[in-house]
Amino acid sequence: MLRQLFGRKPPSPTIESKSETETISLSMDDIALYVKAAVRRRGYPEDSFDMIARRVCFLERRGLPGFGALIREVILNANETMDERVGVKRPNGVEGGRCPIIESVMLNDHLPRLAAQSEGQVQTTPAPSNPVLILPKLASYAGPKGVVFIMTYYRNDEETARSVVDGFRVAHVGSIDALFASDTIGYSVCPEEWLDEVTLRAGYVDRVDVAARALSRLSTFIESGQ
Amino acid sequence: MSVYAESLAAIAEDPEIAALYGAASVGDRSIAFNLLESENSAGMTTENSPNYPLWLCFERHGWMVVSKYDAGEHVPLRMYEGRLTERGRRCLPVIFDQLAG
Repeated sequence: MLRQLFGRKPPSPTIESKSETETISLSMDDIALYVKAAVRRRGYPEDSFDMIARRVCFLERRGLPGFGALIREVILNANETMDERVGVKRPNGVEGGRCPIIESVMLNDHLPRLAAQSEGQVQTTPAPSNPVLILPKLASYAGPKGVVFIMTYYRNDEETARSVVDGFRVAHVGSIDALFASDTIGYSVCPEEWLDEVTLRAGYVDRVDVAARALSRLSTFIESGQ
Repeated sequence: MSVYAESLAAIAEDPEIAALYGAASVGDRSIAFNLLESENSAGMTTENSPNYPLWLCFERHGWMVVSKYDAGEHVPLRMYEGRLTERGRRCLPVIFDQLAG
């Protein structure tokens, strides 16, 4: 079935007993295949598949858990329709937790204003789910405009982490959990003098060890939609 | 001066940037894009490639460091290695976007 859908089947995790620590090594091409299959199953528009795969690989190449975030995004929110994933408010009335891929598209109109903010100014918004998936969008705007963005993650009004991003490079400081779950995120422009204190890195990862259990769960989702 | 303003000023004041960029093929230019994409990366070029004068131009602006590369006596071409500077990693995305437009 998968072969019919995508032409090439994602590498199948041939693991019988999936212990907590068991991992499978994937190339960026493998990850891109899984991502495209997963977002197709989830119901994203077909012309977004390549873009989403590129963004996930952008993060993984820089040592950030883009693939894990994508897996969580498509599986844990499968109870909401794609239409419900758009609004800031969830069907249960809670603010935030919307789709970060759609949020990235909607961010387009706001990026010029965010890039023009004065130093020290932070624009906050209820966080989408898996907010790390927004970083590649920030990068794609930051590079051509020569700006460096900071995305600040908050939980219970406390800052838990920061990601700094220019066109091709990212630095992350603080909690990794924040990349998956935050209450609020803030966008600001990084002052040039702060750049001496962070190490921005372009791509340096070629293969990623993925938990076999997570990959197995994703394969089930791709096959069955559940 | 911001990175953006600095990059635009360089394009305005040095017409060689646009001319040499325009003379390079998409394939030639892709090497510089790959350098931006990857950490600690080096690109290779030869004297006859459009990349060589383009990279020397980038070097004059402080965006790249170009050095001779010893490929061994069995390689008849003079080869050069190019590495981006920190300034290059900031300015070249602006430059490429402007010139692509």
